[in-house]
Amino acid sequence: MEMEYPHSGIRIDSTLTEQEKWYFDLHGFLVLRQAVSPEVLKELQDIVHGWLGSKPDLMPIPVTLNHLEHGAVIQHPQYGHSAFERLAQHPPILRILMGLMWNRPRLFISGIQVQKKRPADRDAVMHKDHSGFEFPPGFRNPHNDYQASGGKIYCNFVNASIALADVPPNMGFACVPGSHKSEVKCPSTIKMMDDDSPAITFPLNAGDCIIFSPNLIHGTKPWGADHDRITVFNRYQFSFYFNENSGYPIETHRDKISEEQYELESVGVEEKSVVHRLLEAL
Amino acid sequence: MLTQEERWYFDLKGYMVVRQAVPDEDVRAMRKQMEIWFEADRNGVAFHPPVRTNHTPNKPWWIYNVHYDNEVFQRLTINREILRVTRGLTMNKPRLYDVVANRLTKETDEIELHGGFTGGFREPHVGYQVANEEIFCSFINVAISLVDVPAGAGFVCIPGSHKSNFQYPEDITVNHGPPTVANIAAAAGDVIFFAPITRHGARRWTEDDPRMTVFMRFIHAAQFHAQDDGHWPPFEKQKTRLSQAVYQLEQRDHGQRQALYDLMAQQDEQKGAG
Repeated sequence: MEMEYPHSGIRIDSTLTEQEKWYFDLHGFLVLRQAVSPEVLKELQDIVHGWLGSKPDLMPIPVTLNHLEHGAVIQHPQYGHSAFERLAQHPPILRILMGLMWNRPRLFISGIQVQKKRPADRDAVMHKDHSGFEFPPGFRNPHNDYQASGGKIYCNFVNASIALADVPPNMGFACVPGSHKSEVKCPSTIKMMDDDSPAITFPLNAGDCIIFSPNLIHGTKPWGADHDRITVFNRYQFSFYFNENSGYPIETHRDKISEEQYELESVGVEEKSVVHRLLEAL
Repeated sequence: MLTQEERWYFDLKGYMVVRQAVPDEDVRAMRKQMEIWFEADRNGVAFHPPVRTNHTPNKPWWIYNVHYDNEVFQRLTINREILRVTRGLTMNKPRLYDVVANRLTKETDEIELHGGFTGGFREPHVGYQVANEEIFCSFINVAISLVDVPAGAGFVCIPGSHKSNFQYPEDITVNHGPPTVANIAAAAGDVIFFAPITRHGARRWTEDDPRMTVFMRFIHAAQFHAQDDGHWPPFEKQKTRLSQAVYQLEQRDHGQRQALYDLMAQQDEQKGAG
């Protein structure tokens, strides 16, 4: 049923199925298998490999490439190639994001992480994202909130993680299911790498996508495969929300993205074009 | 009474396990007694009320109120670890209102998932709240395994479903895998505590020897019983078969449960000394 709130202009007719709502509410994540077609996946992989073979100072501005000891980070890829803009607006992923944040998603940061094989670190830690200001236990962080009411979900910070390389079992993204609703402070004795850890990992095929609340306790397990882990992280927040991350859209490079992408990255009250189009299609 | 790890885990999952909470000799004695009762029931022997049995084909064989007829089962109701956890989940006021044991075999049907949030208002008798890092769970199930339960069989639940905000899908069964359905392997003497609002069930038994489990249900002792209809303990006519502390554990709390309070204080001292 469509719900109208004239003072805020929100249409929150949910784009999620009842099963998706139940699952996300229970676990704090959803896994979309084959979210990206093989053709699109190949294009994204080729672009990333091209950039990784490039020198940082030859990257298309404002895209940045930083090589790290065990990998690399590429920031703002949608400003360097429209394939990443299309990925940020990809309907199967956008539908879920819309359903989690009242049809008002705003892309506020995008990056690609590359992880190389490295020895296991038994002390690898997990965390909850706090967007720069960590709230004391017992308080709900408004920067990273989760609520459910009246058959709807409000999750104002959501991370869409798209695998561009296969992820074998027991490595890569790890999280503690259900911890987005934890009301008791996590003890320091809970470790990601312990044999009895409550953290789980996700064997993925390239093209799969995990959509998760960063209010989940989560982390990254050391990469043990011969091939690199390559993941796009697109982080979205509720678009009515104040702009606590002033990075996007990058005004000085507005000409590198489409008007629709500029709108998707902007704080705004109105229903965005990509959202409107998808709502109409649904 | 609960450690930080236990509180965090129970809040996260809606269940927790205490390993080796019951002494081996008590487990063996209860198992032996269960077989005696089972044979007696098969031979048509009548039980002394309030002990009674129930069995329908392909379902578990159940025997109720066993602690009125056997001191080892009665000792189980005031087991220190069981009381410690139930006290920690009920603001120190547990009331025992059901004790029942079952015996099942490979021929017994699985126990389908049941419990869980169905939408709308929340049932106050199965309440779950957290405040100031403390949990209040007004209804707790306790399952004490009398046999080793291998992975793949036995208790399952949907972790976190005690806090679900949406109706569970009907198509998820006891045989789904993690993370949605968790199967908990247990050794004899292990105890599983779970909120009944955590959707739960049991997979079909896989072993040649029968599975035997004692279930105890606790509610907050200051609240009304959802089904206070005379079929639940304490059974006044048979109260002399219980210790004063167990009899009081079965009562609503009006501040009169001194023998139980003394027992709890004694257990706390032993725990501190231990």
